[in-house]
Amino acid sequence: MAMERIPCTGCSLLCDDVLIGTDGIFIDKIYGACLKGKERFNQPIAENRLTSPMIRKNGKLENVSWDVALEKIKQILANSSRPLLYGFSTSSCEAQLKGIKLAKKINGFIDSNSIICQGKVLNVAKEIGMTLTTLAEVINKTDLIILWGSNAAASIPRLLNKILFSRGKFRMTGREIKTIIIIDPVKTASFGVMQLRDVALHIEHGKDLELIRVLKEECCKKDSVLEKSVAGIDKEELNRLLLNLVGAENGVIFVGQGILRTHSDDNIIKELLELVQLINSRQEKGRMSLALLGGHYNMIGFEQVALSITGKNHSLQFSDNNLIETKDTIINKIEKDDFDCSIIVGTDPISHFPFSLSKNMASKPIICIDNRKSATSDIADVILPSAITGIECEGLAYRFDHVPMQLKKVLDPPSGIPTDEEVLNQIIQKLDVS
Amino acid sequence: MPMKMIVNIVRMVDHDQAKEFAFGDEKSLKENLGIGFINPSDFEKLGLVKSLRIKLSNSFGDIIIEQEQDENVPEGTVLMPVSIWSNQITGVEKDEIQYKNIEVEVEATRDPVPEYKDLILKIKEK
Amino acid sequence: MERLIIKNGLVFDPLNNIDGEVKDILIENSKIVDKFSKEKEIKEINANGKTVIPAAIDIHTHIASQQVNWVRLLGTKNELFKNVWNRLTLKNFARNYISNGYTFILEANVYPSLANQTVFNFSLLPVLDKAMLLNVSNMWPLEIEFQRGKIEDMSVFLSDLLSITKGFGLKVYNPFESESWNFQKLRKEVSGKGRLYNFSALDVYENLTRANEHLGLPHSIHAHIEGYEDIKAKNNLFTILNKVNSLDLQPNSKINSEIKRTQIFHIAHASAYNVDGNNSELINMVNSNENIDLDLGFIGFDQINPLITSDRRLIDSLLKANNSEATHKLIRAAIEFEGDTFATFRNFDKKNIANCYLWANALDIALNVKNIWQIQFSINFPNYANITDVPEIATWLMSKSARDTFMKDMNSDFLKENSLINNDKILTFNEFVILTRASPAKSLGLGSIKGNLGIGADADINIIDLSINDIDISKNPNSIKTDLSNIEYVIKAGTIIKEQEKIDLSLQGKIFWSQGKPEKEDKSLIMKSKKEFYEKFGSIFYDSLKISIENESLREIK
Repeated sequence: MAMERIPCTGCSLLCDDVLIGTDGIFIDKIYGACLKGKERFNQPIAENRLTSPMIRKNGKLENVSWDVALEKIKQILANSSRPLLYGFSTSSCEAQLKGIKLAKKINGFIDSNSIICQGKVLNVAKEIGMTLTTLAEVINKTDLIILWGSNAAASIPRLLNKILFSRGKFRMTGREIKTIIIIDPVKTASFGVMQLRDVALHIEHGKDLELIRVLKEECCKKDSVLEKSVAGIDKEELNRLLLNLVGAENGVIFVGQGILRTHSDDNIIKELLELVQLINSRQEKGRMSLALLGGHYNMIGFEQVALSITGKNHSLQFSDNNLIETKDTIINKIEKDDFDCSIIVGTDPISHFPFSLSKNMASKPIICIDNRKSATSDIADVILPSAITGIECEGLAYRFDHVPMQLKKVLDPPSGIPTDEEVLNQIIQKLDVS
Repeated sequence: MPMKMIVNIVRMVDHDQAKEFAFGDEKSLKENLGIGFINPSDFEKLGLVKSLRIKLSNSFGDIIIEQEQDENVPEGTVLMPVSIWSNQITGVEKDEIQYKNIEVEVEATRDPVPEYKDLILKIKEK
Repeated sequence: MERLIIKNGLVFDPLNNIDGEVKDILIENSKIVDKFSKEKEIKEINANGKTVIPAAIDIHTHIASQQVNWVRLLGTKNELFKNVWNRLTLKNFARNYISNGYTFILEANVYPSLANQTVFNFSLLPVLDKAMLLNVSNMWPLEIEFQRGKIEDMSVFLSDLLSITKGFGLKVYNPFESESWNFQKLRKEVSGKGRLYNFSALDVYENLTRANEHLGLPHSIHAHIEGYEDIKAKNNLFTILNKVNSLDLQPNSKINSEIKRTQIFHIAHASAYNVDGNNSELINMVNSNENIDLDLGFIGFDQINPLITSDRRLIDSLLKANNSEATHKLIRAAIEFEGDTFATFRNFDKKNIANCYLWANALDIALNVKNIWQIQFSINFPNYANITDVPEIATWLMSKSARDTFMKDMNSDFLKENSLINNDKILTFNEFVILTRASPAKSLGLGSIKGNLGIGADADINIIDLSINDIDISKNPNSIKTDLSNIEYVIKAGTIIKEQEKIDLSLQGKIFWSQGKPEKEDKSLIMKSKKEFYEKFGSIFYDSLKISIENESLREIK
């Protein structure tokens, strides 16, 4: 059986060194993928795969033909003046483009999962700026890795393999020359890679801002020594942190959900970005960058596509088929009930959103486009099944560090199942037929 | 006597809702996701035994989940995987969804963990 | 439409030595023909009293790289940017370029690992034909080749890289400068060896120039000289140009075309290298070496400009110059092992003497280089000017009074000292057509198919509602400005894409690309070692750089 290399869409690392063996019908062998990747490659045969269009009749979901499902969607959208479109972070850029086109056509509001994830950092960067880096730089030059609020071992399992255990061109001694610092209230699986030179900072819950502020004050200053503990971290550990910050030739702070969502403090991301700037300006050599980790494999794609097409990276509100200014995001649109139906693509907000938001969503028609069952599909009024991008259809995606990756197709989707892009296109065409 | 604690919702490789939806069933979904992890000292303070569950309540709602001890979890906190169960006690504050440092009151309970379909019904209830 | 005739227009077609003649232009199947295959279904445009010229070409622009997105991101919080630049969307680019008569653009700085993004953006850019330059100045996979001057081997790899990313040409830009950044140092000159590598930036300029000729690419190496807008650039410019001249290289374009380029080295935005306003050395160098050409880089003095660059020295100086209130924010990224990107904003100011010199330099060079075929018009879009500034800029070239009017509120010391004040030279309309159409086409190696109205050329045409010979442009700059701002007809591949106010964005342009012809027979060993480099030190396999695109969207130049 032929083995081929294929980029993995299990997470936003988009590893392109996964080998699969396939006869074009099933994937029989998977080498090099982590658990998340393996799960992704098993999706085509998932027991609960969505394989047919469905609509809700008398409270129950029933299989119907594509025509019937599309007709129902047309009806829902005809009765709607404030549609929401959400998800798109597990779709290709081509599909994201179609999503924006559809939103424009129906004067909808479209957002991706990025708004509650990496997008938050990008939004603050608009006002502060930021210093980014990409994976090959990290592999070849980085000697200091900081995981802040990120359990990379669970969310992006092969990240540490690639950056901590690799031997880069200027880091040929590999692990021995690299230091990892983990800042997390919980002793997560990521702490398992710690060795003697590394620094484990068990920060108190919700005290990240306190630590950032102290670092802004003290970092990279001559003879700076901290005399007391901060945010539940001992002064010895803090001083080790300071030493590492000043001595690093190339440091990267990997930022995860833990710090993006601490207790209602708008400024934390801003102060973190400012901290990185301060380190860069005060360091006598070297540079510090930021990397934003996100779970879904193409969250960044939506931001990039939206920027190219509209000049705005998120929360696109269309009116009279034009983009208009808005301060809304998907969260407050749902919270204030400012919508009358939703189109959900490749995500499960009924499970992932707080009850108050899912309740609002469930009270209006939901059109769900996905390849597998979810709480959203269980509540939806119309379901359209779609192919699994990166296995059953190709397309463009962006890695977490904004490097684009061409995804491949190695299997055909089950018969009759189109790609996300094709589904959205069919909806657009259905609406065109008057 | 309910105890004040904070909840942190995280991604856990072995407690993954998407995986259960794709490959499991409602039973495995509930078993793997309707759960929270607490420090052994909190287990003691709450007067728990293995067969009991915990009820978490706050202004957003309440939820009953299974509990397991984990010494890596800091005292005073409950660690839960992202799921439809954990989202019964999350909410929106200042236009942002709060998944970390959520204040709850916790008490031991004999009541069962709600079934997936009960949660769905609750969400659909007008 | 299949057949189109433009009748009785006043034609300027410098590549075919037509300097204001009344003649008909015949178009069939997207090309210019001398006679129709059938004398029926011929659409006619009456161009009596109008001027007909080839469509314009932008030889140095930044519209489809990742950095443009960073500017858009920063711009969402900047009201002035939104007003002036209309969010910089791809559609707006297309509209503005078309209104100003352009049908071809060259994206000037694309890192190979981000080429997929540029190609994706290209596919969303309506109508225009486009191409990109791959920035290979910091390519660690070529370390040995740069060190040992192994041109043949380097060329094999570069050709393959161009072929998988669908690049058109090569850009050399501050070679390995990002390595200096890691040590927080600004490189003082280009001939010193690096700390992490045993060759100099100058070696890279030389080697890439040689490799470009070895490959016989349609365009020459396209060079950004290190230290632009800084006094360092002057020194670097001559170090590099002297080196290039010493190579004794002949232009060796291997494309199958009657009209080939005559340069071996193209200097980008030449206005930027003489901050003291003294361009005489550069002008003399260009006048005595026909193997060098340049694009001008006109400043438009817009209220605000995006700045998309990979030049650290410029960013450093801009950040230091701004006070903390006015500081524009910066987004910067290290891109794999290929170099750095910076995106921010800047404000040009007529009262700032350095900005005035930058402005004057472009004109000084344009008016004093003897052979106009060695210069091309550019605005280093969007860094120096907006496409909508082009008509105004045109008047500075063709009318002293327009120049003087624009200058009059500039810095007073500049007005006292600068030689431009006393320079009465102006360009003729024909020379303007050379600058904006014929010369860029030739420099890019597209002289047979673009920038001209000869038989077999792509039918990319502008019809201006003015008979040039009936007016004295130098005395009536506003009339040409008005007509250039709203070109009456813009035709692309024989299809009318602009007719008065109506613009048709439904057509799809093509991505022009070229891989050149490396001499080395056995490419496998080289490619094997380069792929191994990516396996060992890259974050992705070399093959993952490959673009996936339908053939119909591509046009190979070979």
